[in-house]
Amino acid sequence: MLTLIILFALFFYYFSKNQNKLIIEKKTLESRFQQELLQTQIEIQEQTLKTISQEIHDNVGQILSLAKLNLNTIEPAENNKAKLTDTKNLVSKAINDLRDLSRSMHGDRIAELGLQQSIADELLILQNSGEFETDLKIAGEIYKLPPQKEMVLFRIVQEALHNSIKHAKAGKMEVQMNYHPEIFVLTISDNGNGFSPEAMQLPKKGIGMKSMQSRAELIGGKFSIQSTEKNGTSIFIEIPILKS
Amino acid sequence: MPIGVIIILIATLTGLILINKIRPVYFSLIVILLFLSSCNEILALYIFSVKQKVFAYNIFSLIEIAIWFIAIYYTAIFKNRKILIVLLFLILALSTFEIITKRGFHSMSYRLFSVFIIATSILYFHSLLNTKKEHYLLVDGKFWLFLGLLLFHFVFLFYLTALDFKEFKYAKDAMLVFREILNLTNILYYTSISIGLICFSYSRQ
Repeated sequence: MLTLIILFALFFYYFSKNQNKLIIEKKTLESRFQQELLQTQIEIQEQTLKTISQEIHDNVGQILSLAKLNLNTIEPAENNKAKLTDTKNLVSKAINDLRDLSRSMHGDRIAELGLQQSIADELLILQNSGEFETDLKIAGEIYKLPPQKEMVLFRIVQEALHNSIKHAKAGKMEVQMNYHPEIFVLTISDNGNGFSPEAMQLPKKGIGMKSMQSRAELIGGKFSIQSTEKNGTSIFIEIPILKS
Repeated sequence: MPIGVIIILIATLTGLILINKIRPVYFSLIVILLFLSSCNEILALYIFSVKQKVFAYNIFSLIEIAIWFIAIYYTAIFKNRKILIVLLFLILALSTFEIITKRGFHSMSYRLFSVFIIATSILYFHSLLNTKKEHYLLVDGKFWLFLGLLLFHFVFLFYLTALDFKEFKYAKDAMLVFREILNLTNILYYTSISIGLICFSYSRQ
């Protein structure tokens, strides 16, 4: 009987050890799969945005430029002079807006300009609309993050700004970039509606929030939100800096 | 009524309540075995004479051997199942021969069956140790069945072997202790079977 009890105890010990190992392996595989899936999604999304951006720049933009040229060649008559000037201005605005849109969509341009400039341009577009007040604050000694991380961070900023406009009805948006030697902290804040702590619970989060969190985790970052009703929202992304 | 018999009756009742839900269906055979075991124990306790008891236990053990072989056949522990059929007929033939030629219980062939059950249980536990899938032991009906079988046959094998020695057979205290251990094992065996049947009836719902 004692032998049996000892044998069973040994069996349970090795069985649970084996099962724990399997569970850890399964979780690692699942996490790796999720990371790869997200990576692929981001790559596809970037490719799509790049294609649309090129199409806007090379096709729609060119057509509008041609239209503007044609408008410039028309001799204004007395009765339609004002209308023609308005049309020229509208077409010019459309060309500028499309150029901005094309720039913010194009991933390669983000890599070319760098994260600060890309975010500054994005905020400028909002500022130029006349409806929003924006601010960019940079602290610490600036260093360059890997291009892929910068791209993902830029997309998070875009998503956060989009949320501030669409859901929070914010009038003022602020982006802070803190370059610490060990960690890079990106903060996107607004003065919008905000939401209660209950709404911040994971199952209730929107797709945009989840997407931002997944993107931040993909590049090894930590994502957190601070928000209270009627007092705006702040999103924090912390990226540890690995020293090679 | 001894507690061992009460446990058998409870196990039979559990089996009869769950018989329609037990999946895979071939494990329902265990309920038949439990029912026969209950009848056997009650008749042996209140009605049968010693000679009838021996005869009843012999017949019951033959049915028990056949049912456990069928159950093991379908559990797919053995890759070569034909060997099980051969082994079943060999043990049954040996048991029949022993019953005819000997007056008492067919202990020799039953010990062979016990060795087979112990080996099968060890094989099953070994396969569990090497499994590459997540396995929930406590809801695995087979685990409970083999746990009970291993425990019961391990102790019963010792008991039957010890009975061959006159020194043990006539040592009243030793017999008493061994019988108590056997009773305890019986209780654990039927409890394990009951838990196993509950697992078989709820695992796929």
